[in-house]
Amino acid sequence: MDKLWTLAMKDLRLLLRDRAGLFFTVAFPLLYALFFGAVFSPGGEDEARRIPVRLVDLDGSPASRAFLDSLGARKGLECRVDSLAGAEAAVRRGRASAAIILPKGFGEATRKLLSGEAPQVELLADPARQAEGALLQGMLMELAFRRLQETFQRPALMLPQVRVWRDSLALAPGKDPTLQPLRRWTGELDLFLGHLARQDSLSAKAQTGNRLARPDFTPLRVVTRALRQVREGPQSAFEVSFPQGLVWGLISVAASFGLSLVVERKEGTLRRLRASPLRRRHILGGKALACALAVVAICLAMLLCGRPLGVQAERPLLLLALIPSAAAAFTGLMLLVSVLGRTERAAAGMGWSLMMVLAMAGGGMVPLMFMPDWMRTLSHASPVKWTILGFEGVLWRGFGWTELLPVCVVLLSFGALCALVGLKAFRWRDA
Amino acid sequence: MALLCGLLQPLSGTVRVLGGDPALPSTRAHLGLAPQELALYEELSAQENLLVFGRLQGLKGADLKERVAVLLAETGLAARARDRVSTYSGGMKRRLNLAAALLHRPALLLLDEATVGVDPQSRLALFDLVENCRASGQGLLYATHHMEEAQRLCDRVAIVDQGCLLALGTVPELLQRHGGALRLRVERKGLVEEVETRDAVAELARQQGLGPFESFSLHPPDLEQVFMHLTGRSLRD
Repeated sequence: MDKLWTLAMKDLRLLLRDRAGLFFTVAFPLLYALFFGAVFSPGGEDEARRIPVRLVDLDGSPASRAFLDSLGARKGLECRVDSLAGAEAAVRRGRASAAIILPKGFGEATRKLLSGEAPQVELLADPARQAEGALLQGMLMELAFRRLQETFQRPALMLPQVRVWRDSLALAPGKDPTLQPLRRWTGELDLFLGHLARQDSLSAKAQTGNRLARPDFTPLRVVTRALRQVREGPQSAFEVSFPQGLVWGLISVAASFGLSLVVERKEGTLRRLRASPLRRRHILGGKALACALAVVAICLAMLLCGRPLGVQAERPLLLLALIPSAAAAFTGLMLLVSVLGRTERAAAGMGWSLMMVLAMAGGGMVPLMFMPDWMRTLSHASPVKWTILGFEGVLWRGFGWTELLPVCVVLLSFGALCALVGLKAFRWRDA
Repeated sequence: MALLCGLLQPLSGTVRVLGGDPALPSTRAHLGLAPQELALYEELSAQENLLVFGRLQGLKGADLKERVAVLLAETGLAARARDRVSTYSGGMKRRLNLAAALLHRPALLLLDEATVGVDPQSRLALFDLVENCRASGQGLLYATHHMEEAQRLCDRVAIVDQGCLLALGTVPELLQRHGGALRLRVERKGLVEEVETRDAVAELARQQGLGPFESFSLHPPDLEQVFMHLTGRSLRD
């Protein structure tokens, strides 16, 4: 064991000294996971739902300004005041989803809310963005109702409305018998609201005590309750990208150590090792131990780096079975790579070609869900598929022992098969 | 060399080294091989290389550290012990290659072309190391194409050509058996003439009779002559 450990430590030290090898073994998988995780992650909630809108105020009244201010304060909108031509151009060019135009007379119509025509707002929306247009329409209606509610709640705002109504009734022609009681009622309402408005301005206490309604009056109170969503599918893109990145690290480890055996053969160190009192099993065992330790280190490093991004095992104990199984699979693969070519160049070419095919077939490049059925069937032969599946299972697929054990068995079998072929074909005579 | 280290199995017959089968690790534990190619980990330092090879030879603890320090000093590498081997000159690598073979004080040292591509200083340092080993009683098998090295370092020399043992004996024995006669070189009118002779004085008198000459020199037979005599002048693949 002492000799195995010496050989393994020597190989790990050599790996650490090889900057390019270290980059592809540790840094590249991490960058891969971070890059693709970030690319496929949705942005922040506010950022994602903000609708670009141009606002046009053709009225220029205090009421129109107040209306636009209220719109601008809405969280889901990214508002920008513009000219009519500018707003139309922005919608046409797709820079804005819609334009909201307050025409001339908006302020006057707002003043005669109870007696005249309803104030009008024009919504210019891109037909290709119907959903956003509908959402904006709903927002405008909601805002109008909120302002109406505010008017009813505050006597100072309600008073001018009632006076306009009263005056219009007084000027109304004809002798309709229903007009008389209405004129009387609006006159009394005017007196009552005038009294309340005076009281409002006199005392803040009286203001709160004598309102028509409470300031926080609402026709409907919506109570929200948090309910944790049942976990289905990955919670973030990082939970998908980390297993894939990790697999690239394992591929790199298998290739590096496989090629290092070819290099040792070429440079004569294998000859020196064979001339020392070591058995063949020590030499290959040391290499395999180094490879397996590197696989374990990469798995742990990736999981540790993923933790701040929410990449976490639901049942960490499962990793105790999965990581050694993955180590066995990729160590076997390493032994296979080491016999693929006589020269370093040949072994590198064939080794990386094999790795690429396994990665491609196993979903290491393109997720399996995007592949045709026959390709998905073919993927069963790739340890990449099973490693990704295993890690996804532990991270977000909700695997238990029953689901994970078959994955581990496949990985172990794959490793054993590759190791067997590698050991059989190892060219000891060339050393 | 490959047969002696157990790297190859003989097609016929048996190989015994120090009384044991070299295929067995217990026999190889007493062998020290300095292969022709520089069998070193280039990305490790000299010290790290020696520590790895020492541990694999079964050394550990203080003994290992002491051996590493001694050999680094003897090979003149102590000052650069922590530098990566990839930054060393050819001569330094050769010295380290030999040090790695000497770590565990092997009973038999196998040196395969130990001085290929080294500077004269490194070559002399290597000779000193090898002579020290010989003086301390270690067995030494030295494979070389440089006959002056064999003549200087070896008690017995075997001439092997194309896998066949052509001659075996001490240097004087080989010289006597296969070295041929003395060689007399005579320079006359700018031309050098070489003749072989058993009686140098008689030959010199004969040369004087042929006419005056500017200079002459007498060369006793050497191993190179023995080698050429045994193997011929045709080129080898």
